[in-house]
Amino acid sequence: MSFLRRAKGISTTAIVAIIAVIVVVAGLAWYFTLPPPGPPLTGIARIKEKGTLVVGVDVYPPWVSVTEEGQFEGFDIDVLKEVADALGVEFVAKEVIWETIIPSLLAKEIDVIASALSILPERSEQILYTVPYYEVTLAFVVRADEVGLYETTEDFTEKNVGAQAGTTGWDLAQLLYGGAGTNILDFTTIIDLLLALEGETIDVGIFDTPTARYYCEEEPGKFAVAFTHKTHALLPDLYAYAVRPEDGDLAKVINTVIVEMMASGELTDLMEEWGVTP
Amino acid sequence: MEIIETILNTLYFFYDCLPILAEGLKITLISSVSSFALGLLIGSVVALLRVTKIKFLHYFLTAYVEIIRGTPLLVQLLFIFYGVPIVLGIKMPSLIVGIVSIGICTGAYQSEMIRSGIQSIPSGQIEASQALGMTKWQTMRYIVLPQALRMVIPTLINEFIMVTKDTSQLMVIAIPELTRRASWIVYRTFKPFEVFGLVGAMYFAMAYVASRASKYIENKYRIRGLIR
Repeated sequence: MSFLRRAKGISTTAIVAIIAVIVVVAGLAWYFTLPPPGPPLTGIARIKEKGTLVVGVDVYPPWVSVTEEGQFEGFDIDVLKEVADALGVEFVAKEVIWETIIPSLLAKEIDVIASALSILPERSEQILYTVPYYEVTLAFVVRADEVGLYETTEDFTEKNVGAQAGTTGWDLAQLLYGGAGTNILDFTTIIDLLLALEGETIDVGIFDTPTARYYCEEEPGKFAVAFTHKTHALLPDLYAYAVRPEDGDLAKVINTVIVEMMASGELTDLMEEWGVTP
Repeated sequence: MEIIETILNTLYFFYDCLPILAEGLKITLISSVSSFALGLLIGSVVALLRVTKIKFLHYFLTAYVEIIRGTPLLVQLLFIFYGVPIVLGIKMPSLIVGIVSIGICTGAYQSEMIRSGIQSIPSGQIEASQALGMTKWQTMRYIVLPQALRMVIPTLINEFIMVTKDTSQLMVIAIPELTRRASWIVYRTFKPFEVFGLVGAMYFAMAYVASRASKYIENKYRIRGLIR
């Protein structure tokens, strides 16, 4: 900076002082033109104010998948587009990795969680579920040429089992095989799990039945569902959407849309369209 | 005092996390030490062999180093663990594959570090030792390597710290190391700030111990009176 000092005219100190004054004046102007503070908006009011319904998704066909152009499509996308229409706002889908989907909701980065979210007690302490829209089981997926070898869960005790941590499939795998010393491998995505199944690194993958059937059809001849299994011993495993606890009115709107679609048969049509057996 | 209560609650929470994280830490340490050791072995051999006159060997080793350094470790891991079994039908037990993959990767980088250490020895010393009638091997063993290896200790320890951090990528090949286990905890408790903060501190602790060890090793093996 010394070259400035030697230049004729403005000294370094003067330049710094001028910049400081500009910054302070700009800061004051910005501060005093802020909207008057009030209680932060929640629920529908907040959605309408920003004009978008941001839905957090994790790619999990047929509920949510990505087209080659990078657009999101799927059963959950269609249902929530209806909700956005009902609210008169724009629908925006945002991809979030599964383990951060609840923190993202709570941090207000997304407004709704979609993508095959199961109702679990520990989650309901943090988030508000909508009414359930689907009852799901877990599928035990094996290589297509081995499907005749396996009939019950005991047949896998000596085999390598794959599941995705943080899902109901993982919990079931731990329940059935955790103590038995069976090798349970944790995959970060379903695609990795299927690749490992194809490469014979694992012998079975445990995950949601609709998605399992989707991939079995997508990759003909590679994979098959050996059998399905209830997720919990007594309770049904239900999918629902989820919002923040303070957004009760938003949950009500979603519930209304779901119930209306159930009554009109539109929900069943949508299921057939996406290859989900009701 | 709410702050004190929050701090205490967080500490109790950390205490609860420890058993799960300890399992992950075990795997992280085993992988980082094993793959670094493997890399050191590979790196030294490759560094010494690259001056060979055998064309095939020279080109092969150069290709190995360039390809490994030019591709991300993540791509190497995914390629070996998912690609090879499908195409070649070879079975891959995950931890061995992970350690060997990282070992091959760090081996390439370490070979370059060791090689540059060897090449930095002034040629005057090599000429002098040859003038005294020492063979190439004797020159290497008594003049070049003792100085070169001492010089590259800090760089190699730095590489060890990089390897330790890179072991977190093993999670994509179904190895439940420290970072993945932290994710497991976040799935159930939804506290990414606390959990990943704690895990970050654990990685930092390992890196810090390594750099202190580096200073200790450098001092212990210092050649007194050597002017560099």
